[in-house]
Amino acid sequence: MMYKKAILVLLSALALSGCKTIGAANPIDALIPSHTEDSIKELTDIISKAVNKPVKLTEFAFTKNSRIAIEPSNSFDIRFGEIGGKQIEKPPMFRLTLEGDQCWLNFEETGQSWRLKTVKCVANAKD
Amino acid sequence: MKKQLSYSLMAVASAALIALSGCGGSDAVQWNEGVFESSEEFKNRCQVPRSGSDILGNTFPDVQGSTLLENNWLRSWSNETYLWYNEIIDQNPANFSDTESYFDVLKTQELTPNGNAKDNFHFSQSTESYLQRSQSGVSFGYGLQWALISSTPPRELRVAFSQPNGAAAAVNLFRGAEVLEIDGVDVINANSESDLAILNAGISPSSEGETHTFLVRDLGATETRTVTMTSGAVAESAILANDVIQTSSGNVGYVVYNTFQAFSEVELIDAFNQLESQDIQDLVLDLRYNGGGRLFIASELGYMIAGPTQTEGQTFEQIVYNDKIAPEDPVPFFSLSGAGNATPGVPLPSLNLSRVFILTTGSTCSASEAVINGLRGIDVEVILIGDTTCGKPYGFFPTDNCGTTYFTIQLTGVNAKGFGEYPDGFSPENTQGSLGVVVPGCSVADDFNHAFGDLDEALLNQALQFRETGTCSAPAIAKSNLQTAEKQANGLEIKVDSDPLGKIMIRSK
Repeated sequence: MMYKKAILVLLSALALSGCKTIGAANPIDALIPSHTEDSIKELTDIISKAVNKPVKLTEFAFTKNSRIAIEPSNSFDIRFGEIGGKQIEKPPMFRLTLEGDQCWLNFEETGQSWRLKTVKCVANAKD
Repeated sequence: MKKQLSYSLMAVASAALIALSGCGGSDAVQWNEGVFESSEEFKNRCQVPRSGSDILGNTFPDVQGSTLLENNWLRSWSNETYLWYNEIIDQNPANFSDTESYFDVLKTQELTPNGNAKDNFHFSQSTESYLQRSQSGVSFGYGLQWALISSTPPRELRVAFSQPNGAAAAVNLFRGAEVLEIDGVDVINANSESDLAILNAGISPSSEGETHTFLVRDLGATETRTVTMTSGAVAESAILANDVIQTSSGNVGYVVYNTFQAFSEVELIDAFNQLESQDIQDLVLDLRYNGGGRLFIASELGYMIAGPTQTEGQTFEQIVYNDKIAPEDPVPFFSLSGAGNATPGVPLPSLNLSRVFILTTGSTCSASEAVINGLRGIDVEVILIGDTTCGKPYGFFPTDNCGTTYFTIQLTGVNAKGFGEYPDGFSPENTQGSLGVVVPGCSVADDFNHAFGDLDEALLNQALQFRETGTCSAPAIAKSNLQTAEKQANGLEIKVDSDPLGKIMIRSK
């Protein structure tokens, strides 16, 4: 009984937040032909909260590939040259998909998905 | 049972210690040489705790502590995770009035076979700055890449290349130009922390809209000039050239690959897919400015060069931690995509080569060197053309405490033969002066006069000649001379294909 109640609460919360954990049938990889300020902000806000750190996205995000990685940009130091060593962890990956005419952002690490409100996307012709 | 008891006693003692130190900022921590408490006992106990929340609304975990407690965290954390923890000379953290100077001594003082510091990669930065770098396939800069020819005074910093339409190109700042001053600070001789911070702020801006002033001398020029550039978001390209060079002895692929970041995977696979269809007999892989990145993508690159027969069941790299951390399974040569932004699980193309020519400089680091070492581990012949690589077989897990993110060497790696000792880099065999691990090939100074893929460019030209004759036509150049070599010519803009995925250049030699 308690489990059922908990599941109901979880589903309600997910519905309210526009977030889901189980994808609908036949999502296809998608691209964003052109961004608006709102679309960049919406993606930035979702991804920043998902990875729990401030993330910078620009008008290039999801314009060429349906998957993007969030990782530190190369940084250069006058004492060492390029900072950083071999990285052996996989960075957080996000995938943009299209279901019907609705764009979704998917966080691969957790399986979470977000229904995007301001992002207009199209099917990725490469897939 | 005895172990449980001792843990309980330790827990009680630790709790008492925390309780004591939490009173009025007291930090009654007794230093016992060679005895280390868990770093968790000291975590987030800060001299100046961050208050409130970060920009995402996360409350900072900091509580009131002291510099001594922060130093104790550094001491214990280093003892737990530093690769050579047993080479750290244990010093009383109470004798250091700031964390920066204490962190500086928490590393090995040993030297490499060449007499260089064994640990050259020990540093920290503000966590705020570190987090500002989280992004996807963009960087904030001027549309150029730096080449640090000499990192210590007399320092030498040049423009490796500049991208069309970037801020650098807009002020005619092109490949080979030397930077003499940044925001009024002398690049060649600066040594104070404050001056180095000013230089770093100018070289590596962390946001858009930062304006910095540079005194530069263009390649071949005698006069200097001042340019002002404003940082912007720059879309990064990993593949800067992807050519097929037709020779009398077959097609030679030429790929300039500039970073192993996750976003590069699609570009890299596309480049090799194109080469695979061109009946490539040899490959010249230009890693001269590739500072590294993801090891798994290095493994994919190794597979795409060597192919399935040579790599099946083989180790690309075995990660090595200190002896307190359990080893993991070895990293194989991945034959399927998925280490970066490509669709996971797709078979990778392969050239099935038994040798590869790799172009290198001192900026060839980390995952680039892992490719060299990984291929040598399965007896793929690696021929180096250029300069000694940087010698960074290491990795870090950047860790925050009290607003500073610390980088200390925590891992290294060995190839299928168990070899991984190259702290002085890999050197082409006729390099004069101090050498790293000697590899067949030719020592050649970086050629700032020619664009990537130009058949007259010195490294590519030497690679093609070595392929034909097996000898080095250019005289060997000592490393010290390499650092100051300069051709007399005007600056040259590097042509970077804005859509390198879409085309492959085919030319005849």
